[in-house]
Amino acid sequence: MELNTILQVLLFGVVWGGLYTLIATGLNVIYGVMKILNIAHGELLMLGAYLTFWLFTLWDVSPLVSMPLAALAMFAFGVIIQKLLIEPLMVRTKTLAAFENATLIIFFGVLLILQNVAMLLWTADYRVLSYLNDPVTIGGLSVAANRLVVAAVALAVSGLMYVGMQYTLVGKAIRAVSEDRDTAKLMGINVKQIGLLGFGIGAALAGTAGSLASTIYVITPTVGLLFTIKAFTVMVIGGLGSQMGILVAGLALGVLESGASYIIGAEYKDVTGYVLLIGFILWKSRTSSAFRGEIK
Amino acid sequence: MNHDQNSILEVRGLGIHFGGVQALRNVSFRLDPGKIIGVMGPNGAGKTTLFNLITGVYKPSSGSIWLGDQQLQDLPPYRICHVGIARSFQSGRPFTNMTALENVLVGLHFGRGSGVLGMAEARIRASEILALVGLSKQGGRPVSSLNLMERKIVELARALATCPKILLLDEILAGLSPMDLAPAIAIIERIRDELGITVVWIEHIMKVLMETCEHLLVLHHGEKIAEGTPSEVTANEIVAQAYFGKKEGVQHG
Amino acid sequence: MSRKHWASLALVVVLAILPIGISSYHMSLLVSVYLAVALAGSWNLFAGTTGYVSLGHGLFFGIGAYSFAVSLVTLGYGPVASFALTALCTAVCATVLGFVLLTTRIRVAYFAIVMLGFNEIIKTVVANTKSLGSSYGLTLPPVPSNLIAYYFLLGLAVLVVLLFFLIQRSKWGYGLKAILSDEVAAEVTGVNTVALKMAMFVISGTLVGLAGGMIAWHWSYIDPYMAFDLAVSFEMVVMAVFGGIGSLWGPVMGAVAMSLLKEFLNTAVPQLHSIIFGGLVIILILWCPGGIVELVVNLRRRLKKADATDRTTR
Repeated sequence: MELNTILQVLLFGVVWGGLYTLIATGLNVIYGVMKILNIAHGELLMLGAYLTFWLFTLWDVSPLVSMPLAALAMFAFGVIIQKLLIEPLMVRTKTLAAFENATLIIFFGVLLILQNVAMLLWTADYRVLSYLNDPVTIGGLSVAANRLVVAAVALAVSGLMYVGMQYTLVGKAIRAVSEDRDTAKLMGINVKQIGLLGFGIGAALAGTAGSLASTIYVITPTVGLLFTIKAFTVMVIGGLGSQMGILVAGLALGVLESGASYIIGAEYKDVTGYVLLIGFILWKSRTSSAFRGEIK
Repeated sequence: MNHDQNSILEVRGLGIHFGGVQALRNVSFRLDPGKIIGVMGPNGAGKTTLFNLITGVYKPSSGSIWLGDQQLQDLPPYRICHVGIARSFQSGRPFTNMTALENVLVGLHFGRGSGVLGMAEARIRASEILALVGLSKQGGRPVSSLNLMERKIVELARALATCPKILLLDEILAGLSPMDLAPAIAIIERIRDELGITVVWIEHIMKVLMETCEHLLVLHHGEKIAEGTPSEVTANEIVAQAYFGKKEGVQHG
Repeated sequence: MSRKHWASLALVVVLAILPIGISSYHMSLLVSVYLAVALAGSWNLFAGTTGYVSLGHGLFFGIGAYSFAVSLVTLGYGPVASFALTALCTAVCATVLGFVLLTTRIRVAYFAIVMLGFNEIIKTVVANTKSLGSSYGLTLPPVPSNLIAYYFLLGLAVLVVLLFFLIQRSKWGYGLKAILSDEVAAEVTGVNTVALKMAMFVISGTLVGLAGGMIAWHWSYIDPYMAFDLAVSFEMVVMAVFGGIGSLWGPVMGAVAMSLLKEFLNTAVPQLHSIIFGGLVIILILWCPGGIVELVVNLRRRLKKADATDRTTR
């Protein structure tokens, strides 16, 4: 294989990898703070994508401007979900398992509603956003400018998240709650507020990713679930809670998908992720004690 | 109980490491059946790790574990139970979604010597075991409504229901109020006397171990640093150093 | 047998003779209810007993559907042989999957996602395999009579409930409860947790597979997107949890309630039915997270209290 081809594949991998990292980061924050798997995460992404699309199509608003708007809108939405749906469940369920099961159902309901509302409002037609499509040449490689922008922004925001989590007070509080909720409470951290914040941030990141994705991918009401599953893959492989791990895993997934798409064919692109995920979990379950259920 | 060759628990050169930490190194001992043997050592000495290894929850990195002439280290935990080794956990882990009686039933239906019991017979036998440990009245109550002492005794009863030859107790007295100590110790001694079970007992309350155990093992930093009768162990300098950093003998109480 | 048992038997008998007097619309409705009960109940047989939430159990539905279709159409076997083959195929797949997944102490959350991933993988592989019809799917000969689907699925639903009932009361029931409570403690108490989990997984998967086979025949057509539709996986979970996971009648009530609800909404407000359905699911689980079963238990308690205070104030 030519060097050029390899670099091209790598570049595409980084573009998508950056996006996956971003989405997984959001999912990870939610999981960390509430210990729940938000299966409706992709729907938040979808909403961000549609928001960007319509602002662009109807009023010529640049996606770069829509992006922070989508982030804010989804932040608010996330806070509302946490306040109205998750908090009551925390009070009403008596065991962690019951809470997890109930939240699974809630998110399923949210998924149904959002997907079908989108279907009603905007039909199932494929929407495509044409923005910065012109190719740019870097060192012999030709790539559409928007992909570069997506990669750059996704990685930048992920990086910002990392910095924020490490060095800001809020970030540290979030990490504290994620690691040890009870001790965090004892230290005076308002876990309820962190819960709201956490979900808001996670949702905002999904919205941002959606905004970015809308420029390089097709938009439909059902586009969300695929991204959710990939984000899970990245989150699990990268290690729940480890931002660095998620970055590496996200990029790895992107590159592997890109490679698989080139070698085997585009139909198997998505499958690569799952095979990777499953192989990883199974391998780790047999070797590392952290991956197994508690032993004590 | 017949104390034959197959009731002798032996450990040879046992070692395990987690990542870079050597939690247990070259531990060897051979336990005479029908006694209460104490296991002591400062926190982090590897005592619970030792129990986890013997019961098959962990696999050793080196060494072997024997019950009589049968090797145990490659067996899964449920097989080790069937061979005759039962345990209790440090935090007390009875099944909280059942009653006390049902906990014991699990031990009866799945432990060593199971399979011959019909459902009705098992219930009778379970009541007997609960009577032995003094929990007859609590049989029908859900475990979640019991206090700590009762929960720990339920766990003990469940372990007994598996017909063990060897019973491993991990800090069973932890968290109990001073009034509950004597009854708990009495139950354990009764287990040795009436059932002939070998009891291997990790405990932090040294006074109790000194008074009830016929034999003691001392672990420190994952190694066995001493073994012997209580008086031998208390006079041991190495033990004193491990606990107090002094060169004199260990004080009682 | 107690009063409850006689009542259940009576119900089954009534359902069995119903086809004589009802319209084909109602029969078709009942068929979808029986399917829902069979699926939710089968899921509960595994997830409700071991605590392992499988989010991709619909995988077995697809495998069953395709096994049946291939057996009937490609291999030319008769329906009975095809069902036998379907059960065998699904059981084998479940055994293999079970070996891979359940022989290590995998965390419950990861197990959920891995099953989901497997569903997607197999869907993609099937969609790209010519001999299985690729994404165009396979067509099957029509079912000779509507009654076949009716009785098959009724029988399957009854079998699922009966199995759960029998297992719960047996000694295996205690072992499963132990696993649910504390898997490691169960192991050191002599429970062969791996074998038990595997057994429930295979039984559960096989039953789902049989349902898939019947439905494939009923619809005369399958394609990878229908057969491995994640909706099947999700709805199984929702119905069982909604009714009350881990209980005997919970998943049955959940399945009946939800499939009737879906049907009602579909006819009343076809445009909005999914949205309202989603909304109702949310409201109901918020109101009673333990599901219908918990609701019933609470109601009974309140009635008892009311009864007691009635007597004291007299």
